Amino acid sequence: MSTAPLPLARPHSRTETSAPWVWLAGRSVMLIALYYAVGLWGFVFTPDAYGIPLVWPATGVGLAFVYVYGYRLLPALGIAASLITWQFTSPMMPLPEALGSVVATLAGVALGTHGLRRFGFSARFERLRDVWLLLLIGGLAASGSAATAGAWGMAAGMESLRFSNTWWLCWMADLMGLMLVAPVLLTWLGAGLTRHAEQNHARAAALGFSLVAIAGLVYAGHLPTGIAMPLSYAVFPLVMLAAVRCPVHITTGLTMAAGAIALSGTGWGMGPFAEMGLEVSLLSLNAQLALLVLTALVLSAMRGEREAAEARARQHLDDLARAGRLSTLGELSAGLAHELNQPLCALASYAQASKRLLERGRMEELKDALAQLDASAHRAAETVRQMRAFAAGHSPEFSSIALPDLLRPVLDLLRPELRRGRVQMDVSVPNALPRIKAAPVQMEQVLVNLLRNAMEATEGRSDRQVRLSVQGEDTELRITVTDNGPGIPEHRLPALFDPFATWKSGGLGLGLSISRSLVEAHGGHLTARNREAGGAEFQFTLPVEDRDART
Amino acid sequence: MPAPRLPQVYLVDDDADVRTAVSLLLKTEDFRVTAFADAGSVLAAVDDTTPGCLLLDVRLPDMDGLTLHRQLKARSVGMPVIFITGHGDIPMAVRAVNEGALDFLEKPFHDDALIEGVRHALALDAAQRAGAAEMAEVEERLTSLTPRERQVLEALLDGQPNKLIARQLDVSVRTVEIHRGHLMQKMGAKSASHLARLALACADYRDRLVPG
Repeated sequence: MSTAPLPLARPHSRTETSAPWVWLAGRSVMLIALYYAVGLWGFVFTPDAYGIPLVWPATGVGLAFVYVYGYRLLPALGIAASLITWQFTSPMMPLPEALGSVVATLAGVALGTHGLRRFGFSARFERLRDVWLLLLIGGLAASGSAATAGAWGMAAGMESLRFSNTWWLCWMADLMGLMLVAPVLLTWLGAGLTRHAEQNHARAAALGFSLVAIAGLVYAGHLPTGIAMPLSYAVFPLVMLAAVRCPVHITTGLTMAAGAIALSGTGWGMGPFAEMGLEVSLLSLNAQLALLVLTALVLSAMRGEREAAEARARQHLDDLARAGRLSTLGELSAGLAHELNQPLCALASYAQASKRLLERGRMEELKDALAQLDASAHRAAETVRQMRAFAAGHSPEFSSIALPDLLRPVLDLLRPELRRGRVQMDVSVPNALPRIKAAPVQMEQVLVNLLRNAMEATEGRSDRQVRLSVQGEDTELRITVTDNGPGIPEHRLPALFDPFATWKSGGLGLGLSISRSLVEAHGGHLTARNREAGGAEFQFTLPVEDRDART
Repeated sequence: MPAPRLPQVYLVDDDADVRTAVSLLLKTEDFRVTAFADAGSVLAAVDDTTPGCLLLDVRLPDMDGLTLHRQLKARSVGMPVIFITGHGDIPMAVRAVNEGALDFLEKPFHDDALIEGVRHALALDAAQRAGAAEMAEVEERLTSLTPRERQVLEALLDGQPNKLIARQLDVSVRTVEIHRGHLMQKMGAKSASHLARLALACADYRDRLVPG
């Protein structure tokens, strides 16, 4: 016997579209090129007194690549670090020290990556914890180790430099570089994880343009320091706006752009910071940029945490709503079983009649009977479909829907109950209502809930009446359910929508509470009052679909 | 006397599909079927002279089947009633049977059970109607008796011998025998015990004890 082989789970890597070695080679080349480029750029910021750069983003590049693509890139990092060391320090630094410096860089990056993974760092920066992890582990392990290597090499190369001073400067430079490039690389290279479904490209472009314009103006060196210095803080509101409104990789990108322009300008002697001399100016600018990066990341993370909390709350409401639907379905099940049994009875009778017609050779009648049998079967299936549609809703999706389409399944679902209780149901829905944007299954739940409450309220009367009316207004639909029951006891009204505030026997009293939450999640309001003519009135609003577009 | 009507099956169910399907099934067995959607229309259509049987759903839009059954009985519609029930209505159906319904069938039912039930109900109705007709005949004959013959009949039903009757009525034994002969002839009785059975079936004598 031959069976199809079970599909084997392929070892997963982020982009496995080409052969592994091509992929590795590509990433390695990218890493080497970028490491070398930022290394070159870093040497712009080298005051003559020390001979060491005051901003060193290369370690950050290494950490981001190894974190995202794995330890496989360590050899490439080794090559990149060797290239830089050889090119800039070979005359002064003896070979063993140079090698030691490269090894220390590798060790720092490997240790940093290990630490980030060990402590569950996520490159989405959706939690404050991710920000602190990057600063602590990146700063201590990666930058610390690389700075030690750098300072050791420098001290070995130049007698005039003391190790402790140099270490401090190297570490500052490394940490600053890391803060500038690591977030942007982590968020962009890990983009597969971070791409948001909804992106506002226009907003991102406008922010980017403003930021580059302001930074360009400040650091082009044409403005007097008295104006340029305060103006340099104008990037803060822009980056903060991005952190609150844009996906995190846009924010990190903008932050890096601002930092690169500021550093380059200052490094080439332009802009408000340049007048203080390279060392002081860069330290001062570094402090400002560090605050900028921190602001952006912390705001992004806080926003991520808020969004996660909101998502949890939404999920909770969805779960609660689903439980409510299932419980409603349980209460309706007697009526629905009857509703299902009717077509089944018809079906069985048609089948039995067909059998007898066949035995008697009455073919024409047989054909009719079979056609009717078929129709009954479909009717039974339709009843089942309604129940399932109401109970389902693992992911209540919002869609554009016309209110009558929402009402029809609700009335179908309640029909057995209405008939059994002999409740007269009036429905008045005007023609040509604007469409709404709603999760149908949840709005059906609200309607079922309100209508069933109304039906229950009229119990014991001989003229049980429930009325459902809809009014369309400019920006919202107003849906009203009234009954001719005894009304809501006056002292119940204030706490009517609180959970467990039931005065009915049987039922948890969650129905109205869930209904109000669902309506509010749709941007509407649910209110209750007693009518002067007697009976209760529940009313809720739903915003019409294109209201957002208009305001 | 109303024109004699043919016995029919009166089906009452609120579901059009069920009405059509069950009617069709019964018609394949050559029953005459009339279907109604609610209690009101069947109440308007039948009375105590309607021959046939009723097939009632226990749940109807305007009235439950049990109430309908009571109203039918109150109008002395004596047709046998078979209840048909969906799930969960069994207690109600049992109550209905306790109140005099012939049977109940659970939906969806077996065709043989349905057809046998209907056949049985129609036969029962026919028998009841035949019994009722015979009784009316006996009542008619009873009215044709003279007062003297009535006295003799009542004395006979009390189990008194001719001699005692003659003494009570102050007539000869022979006269009593003549009255008795006439009375037997008028009532169409073949024997004394047949006479007693016929007379006791009538409303006037129904509660009279028959000693010995």
